[in-house]
Amino acid sequence: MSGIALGRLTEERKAWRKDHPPGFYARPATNPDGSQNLFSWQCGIPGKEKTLFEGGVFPLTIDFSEEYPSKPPKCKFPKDFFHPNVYPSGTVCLSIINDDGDWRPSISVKNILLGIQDLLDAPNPKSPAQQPAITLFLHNIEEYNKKIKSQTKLYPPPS
Amino acid sequence: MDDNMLAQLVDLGFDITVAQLALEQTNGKGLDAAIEFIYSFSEPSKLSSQKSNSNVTPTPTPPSSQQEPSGIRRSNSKNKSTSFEPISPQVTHKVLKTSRKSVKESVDSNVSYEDNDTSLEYNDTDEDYDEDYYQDVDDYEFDIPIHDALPKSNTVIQASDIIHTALKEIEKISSITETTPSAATILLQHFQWNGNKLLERFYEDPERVITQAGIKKINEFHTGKNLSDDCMICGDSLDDSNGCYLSCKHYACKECWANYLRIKIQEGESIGICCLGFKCPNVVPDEFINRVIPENYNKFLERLAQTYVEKNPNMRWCPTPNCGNALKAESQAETTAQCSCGFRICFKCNQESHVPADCAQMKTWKKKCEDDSETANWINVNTQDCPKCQSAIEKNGGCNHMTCKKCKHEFCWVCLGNWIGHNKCNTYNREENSNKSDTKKQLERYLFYFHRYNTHEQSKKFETKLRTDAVNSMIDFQNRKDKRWIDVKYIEQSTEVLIQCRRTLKYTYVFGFYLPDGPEKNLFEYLQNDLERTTEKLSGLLEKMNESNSMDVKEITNLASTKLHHLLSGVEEGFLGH
Repeated sequence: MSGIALGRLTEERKAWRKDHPPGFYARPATNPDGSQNLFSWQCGIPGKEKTLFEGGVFPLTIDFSEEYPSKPPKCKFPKDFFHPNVYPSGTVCLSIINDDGDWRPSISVKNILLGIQDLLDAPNPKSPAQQPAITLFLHNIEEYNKKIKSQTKLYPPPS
Repeated sequence: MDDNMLAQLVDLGFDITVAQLALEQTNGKGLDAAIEFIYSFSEPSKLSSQKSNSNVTPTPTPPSSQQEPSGIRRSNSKNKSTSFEPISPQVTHKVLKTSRKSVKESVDSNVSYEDNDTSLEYNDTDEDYDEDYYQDVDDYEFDIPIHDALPKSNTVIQASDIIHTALKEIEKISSITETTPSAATILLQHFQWNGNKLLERFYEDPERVITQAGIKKINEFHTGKNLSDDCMICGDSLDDSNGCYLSCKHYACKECWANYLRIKIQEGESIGICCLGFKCPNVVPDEFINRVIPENYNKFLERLAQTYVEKNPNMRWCPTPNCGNALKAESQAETTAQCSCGFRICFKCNQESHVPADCAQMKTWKKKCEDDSETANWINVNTQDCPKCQSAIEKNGGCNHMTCKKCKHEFCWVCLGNWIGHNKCNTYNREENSNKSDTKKQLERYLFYFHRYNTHEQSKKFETKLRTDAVNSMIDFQNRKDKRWIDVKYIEQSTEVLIQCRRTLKYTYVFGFYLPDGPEKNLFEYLQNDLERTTEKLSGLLEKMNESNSMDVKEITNLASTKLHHLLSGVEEGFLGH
């Protein structure tokens, strides 16, 4: 099992280095001994232009399991990230990376990151994952926008 | 005039309350009208007179050529366990035992499987079973035939045959629509196994149906030939030996496909597993699964059988633990079904069949029982109502001079009389009931019904024992008294009727609880009481079973089933208005 996961992750890494969308970054984490940990990636998702997320690059950790790519990886924003479809723990709730949902083994890291970028400005009120963001989103959109804007300022692009 | 008729009715052997009711309802139209009215609900005396006729002229000896082989064969225990067969000719109960033979025949001979299987009664262990069986029934008609108390209109599919039945269905659709079996499976799943609806839609617009179900083009399994791409999952290069793909051309190696499919099947999916391509709607056909993971194919079939039952609105699993049979109703309008293990299920709410009470009543009743019974019991035992303001009061010590905290009324705990001027409380107050508050009266009423419901509920525990006892005494009779199986079969049937009566009685208390007072209720309670008495009688007879009381047992069994039948049809059609 691990053989397939590792092989696939090596391929993903190669593919990403060869070509990736502008503004994004994705790299395997470094183990304490300095070696690469292909099973955990540190990524950054830029907010789309002309949205409240513009100007921010949002850090995301992707954790792959041994069962990858048969099972989807787990994608996490920082704890308490303010977004209707992000759990208080930071885990992203999105159909294409959901085990019982639309996950397919052929979905690449690039697909995932682009999918989450789309989700940022287009939350899905049908599957809310945290209470504060969904309440404001549904009932007080001005306050919601204000919160999003100030959150974007917290995550400037890496220099 | 009326009194005269009443006396005549009583002379005829009718209960006095019933006679009164009948006269009331027929508005003095005469004796005949009243008798007819009573007969329209229950025909005890009519029935017993018929019975006694057949007692006088018993002709239980059939031509000897027919009895010998059957008697021997019936001692086969397997036959016994599936022997709740129709004796009464108007009841059509089918036990579908799908042997290879039956699968083939039904597929070959008839397009509409549901209609066809009604005529199938197979037993794969015994080729001659059918003929012998019906001969036996003929023999038996000379004797008192035992009615089935509750009709069964469903098919029981034995656990081991479910998959065959599913495959048969698939084969049928596949041959009609000229699609591959796996495409037919996907189509059937899409239409919740409603073959007729599928075919209807399919003839309207085959293309659309196929696209909607997720088969782009009828999917074909390909193994790699001249594949230039790498596996889209693990990145290994593909060659002729390991590449495979569907018509959507999402190339992957066999190992990656196998991992993907294995996990999907493990998670309980069977039909409708999508291709592993990103957002690809194509459904993986089962030949593909068989080719990629042949070792898991059986597991796949198990899941298929599971979805076959679960997605089919006309089918239910038998809820008995470890039974595993599936019950199939003729239509969704069916309300109850009976498994060959004896369990009757309500098709609407998946609980034990609860006639005459309906699903909504059962729901409220169960909720009420959960909420109320504990509290209610406690209140009933430990409190009394203040005679003035009717608040429930708990006496937790002290003397009998009570002062209500709420209205300051002072009274005696023992006789509930006013404390002022109170001197004796040892006289029984027959008006006591009317002093009680409404809540308390309601509570008592509820407890009355609950107690009876619960008693019958408890007796359910003895069902298994009853059945084992029946089988044991049947074996005993056959061994010791040298009886044929067909001669002792009535024991099993009577036991079954007894169980049905007890179960129904249990639910009559729910029904009765929600039935408003009035003449209808009086009649209902009469029938209920009548059934209860007959049931007890039957129960007593079965306990003291011996060969000399077989006629009695049969007679009472039929009486019980007729009474049960009348009670239920009365509930269904309304007791009074015709």
